[in-house]
Amino acid sequence: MQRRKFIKSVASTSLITSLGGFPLSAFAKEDLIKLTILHTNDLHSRIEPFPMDGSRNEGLGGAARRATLIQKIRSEAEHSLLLDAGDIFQGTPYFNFFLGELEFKLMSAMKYDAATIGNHDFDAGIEGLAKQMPLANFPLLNANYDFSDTELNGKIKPYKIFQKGDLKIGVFGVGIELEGLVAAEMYKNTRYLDPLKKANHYAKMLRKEEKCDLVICLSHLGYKYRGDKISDIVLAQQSKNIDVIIGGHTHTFMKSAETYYNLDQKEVIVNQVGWAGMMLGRLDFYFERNRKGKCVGCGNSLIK
Amino acid sequence: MRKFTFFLFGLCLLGLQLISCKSVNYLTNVEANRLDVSSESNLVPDPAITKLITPYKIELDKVMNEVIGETAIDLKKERPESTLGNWMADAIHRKAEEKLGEPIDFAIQNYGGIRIPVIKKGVITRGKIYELMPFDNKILVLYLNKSEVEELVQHIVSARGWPVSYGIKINELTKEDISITINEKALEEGLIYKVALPDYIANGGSRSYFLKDKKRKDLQYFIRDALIQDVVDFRSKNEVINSPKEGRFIIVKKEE
Repeated sequence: MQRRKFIKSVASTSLITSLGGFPLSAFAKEDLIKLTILHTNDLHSRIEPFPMDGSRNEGLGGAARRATLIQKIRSEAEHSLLLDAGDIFQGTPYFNFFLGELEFKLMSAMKYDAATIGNHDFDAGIEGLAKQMPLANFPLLNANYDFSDTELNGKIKPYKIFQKGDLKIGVFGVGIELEGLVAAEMYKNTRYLDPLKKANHYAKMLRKEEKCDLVICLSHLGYKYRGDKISDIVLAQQSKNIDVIIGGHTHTFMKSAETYYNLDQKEVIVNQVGWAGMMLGRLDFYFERNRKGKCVGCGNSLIK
Repeated sequence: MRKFTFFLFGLCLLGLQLISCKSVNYLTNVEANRLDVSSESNLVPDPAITKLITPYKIELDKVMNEVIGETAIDLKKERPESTLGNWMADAIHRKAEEKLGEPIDFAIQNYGGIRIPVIKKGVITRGKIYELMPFDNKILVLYLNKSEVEELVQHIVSARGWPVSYGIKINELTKEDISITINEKALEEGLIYKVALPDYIANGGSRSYFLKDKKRKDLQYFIRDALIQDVVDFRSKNEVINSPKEGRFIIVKKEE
């Protein structure tokens, strides 16, 4: 019960961050481009809201209500992307019985733009995931699993570039080490590669070669751990060229997005919204349209 | 990034039009929000999504609402011993023996793996067992010697008690002295005990790291399926579940 109260009180003051630094009113409307990123993580087959059984999460979540919210925001947004950070599968009988079929159909109907792969997305085996993929009208992105000796060979791309008006947005995915977390017979010959190395490689490529205005990492690494295990925070601090990390796995209800400084002393935004679709994350990015090669509003903190 | 742009811009000014001068858009501000998806957020369910769900829901409800058996008492989750825990551990014990084809000594179920607080007296639906055990944990049999059984018992005593099956009795007499009997007998050196438990625990979950390298047999049997079968078996014998607390697991009351 405490948890619910907490969530409600935070959500009621829904504007969590103020606009940092330069007042937006300083720009003419045509100077600014706005991009709205909507995101979920760890949906865990929560198709219907949690049952009204007196438990902590009763009445929360539900795909049909989330769809309404997404549609409303999308209809008002200049440009938008809808992303998911993995663990789409497992957690209700919908998965036990239909093995992810409905999860992918619903996300396609909601017009998700991309998702990454979580450890539970292997729960019907690698061939189980491969079997449902034709139902997903959105790419599953991962840059640090080598699927070349599996049924997913050629089906998973490391990144995708989205063109939204004048904005070019690069999105790539990274996943957690599977050994010890997923039964070996489920992930089979999938090879886990260093997510930090792969993230830096693709982020650099998206930034320098593809000249993306925004580089987004969909991560199923987890928010943070004791010790130096790779996490979203470690990735943020040890990376270059990533602007945003949309996380999952640890089911962390972050009160607000956080910023960390990367190896270039540039800000990286990290966000995660719990699990089971109880919340929808929303990040609105404001870009100064460049005409003169000089940024007026730069040099300020992105999120205050 | 900025320097790089200046450089490109400079090239443009110099009239070197060999490379395209894509203008760069600068990220200057970010607003972050998290939005509730709940019955109180005035969101009308999207009819197209509901329509997609409906046939699956109907099919699922048919299976999940099926009554598969009955319990004579409220099965409640408690520590160290409970009516719900006793039935679950007993069911794992029975089904592990059937699958293995030979007797085992006892079974355990980790407390945290029990996902609902109670199964009320009366009929039990298949859906209730899915709520109780949503994840696909499987039954493993571990082969443990005396000191390994003692280590396991010590571990679950320090977790303030997990469900254990018939066959084992644990009595924490003092902090230092835990009495363990298996089939009414004290543990013996040189004997190997067969213990059925969730693969999650055998693979080191819930801080059970010491079990990771122990000899084992994977029964390839989901705990949930075993529990459902156990409920069905009671019914087919015209019996109802009744698993009262009987003093299997006694721990010293914490003096605080």
